[in-house]
Formats: sequence, structure tokens, C-alpha cells
Amino acid sequence: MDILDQDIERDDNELHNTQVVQIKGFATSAKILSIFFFLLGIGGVLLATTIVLRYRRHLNRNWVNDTTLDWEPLLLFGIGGILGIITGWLLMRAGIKGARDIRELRNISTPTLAIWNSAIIFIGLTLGYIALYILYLIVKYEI
Amino acid sequence: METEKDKPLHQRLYNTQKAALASGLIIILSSIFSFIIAFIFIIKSSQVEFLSEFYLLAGILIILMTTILLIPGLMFLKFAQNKMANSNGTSINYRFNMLRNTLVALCVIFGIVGILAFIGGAVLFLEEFTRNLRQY
Repeated sequence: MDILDQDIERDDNELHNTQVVQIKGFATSAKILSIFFFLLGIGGVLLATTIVLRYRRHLNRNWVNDTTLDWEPLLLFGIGGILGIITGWLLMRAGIKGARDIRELRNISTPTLAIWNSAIIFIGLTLGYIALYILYLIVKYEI
Repeated sequence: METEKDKPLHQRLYNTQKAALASGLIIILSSIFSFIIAFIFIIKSSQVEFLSEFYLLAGILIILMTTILLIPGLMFLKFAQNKMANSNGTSINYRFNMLRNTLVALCVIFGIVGILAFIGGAVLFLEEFTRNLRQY
């Protein structure tokens, strides 16, 4: 029975070591992905700001006939960009805290898992929002 | 009494699996809508007389983009579907492997999209911003 217990313990240790390596991989991937989400989010917010700046320029020059605020691209780039920045921020925190937990505890703490959950949900929200909004535009304007 | 923190990881991971399930479902639903619209485009291409090639090309492009989007969605679902692991189980390693691979797939997609969005956004913003400064 003792030998069996030792076997199970050794198997668990091996599993744990592999798991630690994989969690480290997840943390690194999350950090890299967060940079890409930040880029996407900043690009979207800059585009939304451009639309508002252009609208204000037209207003300042009294081009009344040519002045309309394009709400649809503004919503797509603005909200999509903000979602991208939030997702990037959560992924960066998930990566940093995951790596720190592995270094200090050799396991993942519950607060870190909560950040992972938020980051995963926000990935889905950002992707879904961008994809569905583009589809809505395609259908509306029958490109 | 056992607190939440004392529970083994595979039990605490339950909420992460639920989050992955929700995220995966959102992505899959978006992909299904995309596929439907892509097929509408392709069907429409045979009905219109003008620019029919454009409709066909747009349909094929949407199918391609949707397929790329579908990969991380399915991976999230697969991660969420894993059985609970125990001392005798084998899936405990598989979970994190799948989650890490999902992020790598997303890195490939968002690496391209993110860099393009940033360059495009920065160029247009600088053009508009400097135009305001120059009062042009």
C-alpha cells in the first residue's frame, strides 16, 4: 500500500511540474497577447478621436452642409477600442500575476484565477462586438 | 474547514472553465452569423448582373476570416469541456495546454489585426491632428 501511495505521489508531482511549465507558458502568451490588444485598442480609440476632430474642424469652418457626425464608425472604433484596452490591461495583469504566483507559490492563487476569468470573458466580448458590428454594417449597407 | 484557497487547482479552475465556455460561445455565435452572411453573398453573386465577382470574393473572404476566428472559439469550448481531473486522471495537463494554445492562436490573429489597426489609427490621427494645428 505504501508503494502504491508513493507511486501516486510521484505521479502527482510529475503532473504538477508539467502543469507549472504550462501555466508559465500561459502567462507569457497572455503578456504577448495583451500588447496586441493594447495596439488594437489604441488604434481604435485614435480612429474614433480622428472622427470627432474632423467633425469639430468642419463645424469650426461653418461647413454646415458637409457636417454630420458619423456615429456608426465612431461606435465601432470607440467602444471596440475601449474594450480592446480593457482586455489588454486584464491580460497583462493575468500574465504578470500568473508568473509571480508560479515563481512564489508554484501554483495559481484564487485572486489570479479571478483575473484570468475576467480576461477570458473580455476576449470573447471584444471579438464578438467587433465581428457582430462589422456584420451589422455589411447587412445595413448591402456592400 | 476547507476554504476556497485550500481547494486543489482543478476544482478552483471550474469558474475559469465557465468563463472560457461563455467566451467560446460568443465567438462561435459570431462565426455562425458570419458564415450565414458569407453564404448570402455567394448566393447573391449568381443573382446580380453587375459586380457579381465582387460579391463572390467578399463571400469567400468572410468565410476565410470566420474560419480563422472559429479556431480560438472551438479551443475555448474544448478547454471548457474537459472533465474534472483527479489523482488518477490524465486531463489536468491537457487543460492548460489547450488554454495556452488558444492564446497563441489569438496572438497570431491579433498580432496582424492589432499592428494594422495601430498603424492605420496613428496615421489618420496624426494627419487630422496636424491639419488642425496647421489650420489647413
